[in-house]
Amino acid sequence: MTALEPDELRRLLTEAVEPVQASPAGYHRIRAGVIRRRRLRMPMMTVGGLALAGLIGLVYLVIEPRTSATLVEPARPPLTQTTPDVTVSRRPVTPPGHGGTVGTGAGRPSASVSRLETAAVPTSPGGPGEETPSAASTSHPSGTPSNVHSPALPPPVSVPAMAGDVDGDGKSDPTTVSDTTVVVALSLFGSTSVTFPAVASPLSLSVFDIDADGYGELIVQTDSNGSTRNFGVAKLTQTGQLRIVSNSPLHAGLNGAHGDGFRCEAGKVVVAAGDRTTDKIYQVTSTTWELISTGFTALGSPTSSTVDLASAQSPFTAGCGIA
Amino acid sequence: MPARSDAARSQVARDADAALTALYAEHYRSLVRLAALLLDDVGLCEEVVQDAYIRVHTAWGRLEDRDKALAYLRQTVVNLARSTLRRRLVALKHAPKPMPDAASAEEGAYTLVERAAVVQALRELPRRQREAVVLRYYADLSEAAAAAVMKCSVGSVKAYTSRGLTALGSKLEGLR
Repeated sequence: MTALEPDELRRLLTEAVEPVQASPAGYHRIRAGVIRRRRLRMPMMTVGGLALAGLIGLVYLVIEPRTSATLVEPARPPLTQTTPDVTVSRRPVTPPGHGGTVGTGAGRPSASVSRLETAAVPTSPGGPGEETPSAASTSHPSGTPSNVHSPALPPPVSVPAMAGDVDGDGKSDPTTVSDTTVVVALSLFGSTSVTFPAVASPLSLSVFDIDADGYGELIVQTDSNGSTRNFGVAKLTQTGQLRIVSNSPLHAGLNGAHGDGFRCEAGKVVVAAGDRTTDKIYQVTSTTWELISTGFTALGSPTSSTVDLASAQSPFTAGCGIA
Repeated sequence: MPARSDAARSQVARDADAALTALYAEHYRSLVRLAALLLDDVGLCEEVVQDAYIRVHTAWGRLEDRDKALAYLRQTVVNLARSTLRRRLVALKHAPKPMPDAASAEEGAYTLVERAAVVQALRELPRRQREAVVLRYYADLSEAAAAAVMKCSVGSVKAYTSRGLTALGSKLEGLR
C-alpha cells in the first residue's frame, strides 16, 4: 500500500470537480440574500433590544430590595414648608391680616385646637410686633411625612446644641403638643411629630442636648407617680424624624421616703435615687447614663453618697432644662 | 454627527458591494468546487458558497484586513460545510429508510462529480483528513494556511494530510 503522490492527487481532484460550473443565477441569489439580511437586521435588532430590556426589567424586579425589609420611619415634609421661628427671626413685623397675634411672650394656642399648648422655648425672643409661634403652629398639623429616604442630617452648628434646637442649625425649634403628640417645627425640615404613650398636664417639656451630639433631645413629662414625675425622651434620627428612646431613666421628685432626680453633665445623664435614712438625710445612689442610638445605657458602677437636704442642694430634681 | 455616521456606513456598504462583485467574479467557481469536495452532497455546495458570500458581505465593516477577504471567505465555506455535514448526519440518523426503487440522482455536472472515484474515496475519509487533503491539494494552501482555516496546528495538518494520502492511495490503488 503506497501513499498517493501529491501531484497525482491534485490532478485527480481537479479533474473530478471540472464539470462543476457556477450557476449563472449565483450572483443574483447572493445579492438577494444580502438584501434580505439587510431588511431583517433592523427588526431583529429591535426584537433583540426589546428582549434584552425585558430581561433586565425582570432581573431588576427579582433582585430589587423590598422597602418592607428596611426600617420605615415617617419622613419629613418637603423643605419648602416654613416654620414659625424662621418667620419670627427674618420678619419682625407681621404683615396685616397674616393671622399672627401681637403681644409679648409665648402665645396661647388657638381655641379650635384641642389641648394645644406651646412649650416654653427659651431662645424665642418675644416682643412687640413679633408673630407668636403658637399662632403659626396651628397651621402645621401633626406632620407624618412619607419620604422614607430622607437625606442625612447636616452637621450641627454647635456642640452641644443650644437649648431648644432640635435639628442642630443653631435656631430654636418651637414645639406644640396636641393630645399625646408633640409637634416640633424644625427650622431646617419643617414639622415633625412624635407620639408618646402619655403626656402629663400641665405640660413639662424641654429640648436639651443630652448626648452632646449637636442635636437637641425632646424631654417630655409623660406621667407622674405620686410626687415623682416620669419623663420620656425623643431623639432626632438621621432621617430628620423624632423617635422615642426606650428605657428612659429620667424620674424626678420626692415621694415619701424615696427620691429621684437627674441632671445632664457633659453629654451624660446622672440619675440619682435615694432613700431617707433619718429626718432629711438620704442615702443617694448616682448612676451615669449615656444616650446612644438604641437608648440609654448605664456607664460604670453606681456611686453612693449621703445627702442632707437641710444643708445641701437636693439631688431629687429634674435637670436637663426641665423647669 | 449622525450624518457623518450614515455617510461612513454608506461608504462601507458601497465597498462591500464592490468587493462582493469582485470576489464573485474571481473565486466563486473555485469555491463551489472546493465545497463540492468537502460536502457529501454536491447539490448543496452552491448554497453553502452563496451563504458564505452573504456572510462576508455582512461582516465587511468588521474585517480587520480586507486583503484577506478570500481567506475569510474560504474559511467560512469550510465552516459552513462542516455545519451542513453535521446537520445532514443528524437528519440521516432520524430519516426513514429509503425505498428500494428510489429515484436515481439526476443527470448533469454534479452527477459526474458524484461518480468520480476520487470523490467517492474522499467521502470515506474522516472529516478532518478530507479537509486537510482538499485544502492542501485542491485549494493549494500552505500547511500554515490550511491550519488557520481548520483551526488546528500545522503538525495536525501534516498528520491529517499524510494519513489522508495513505488512505486515498489505498482506495484508489486499482485506478492507477
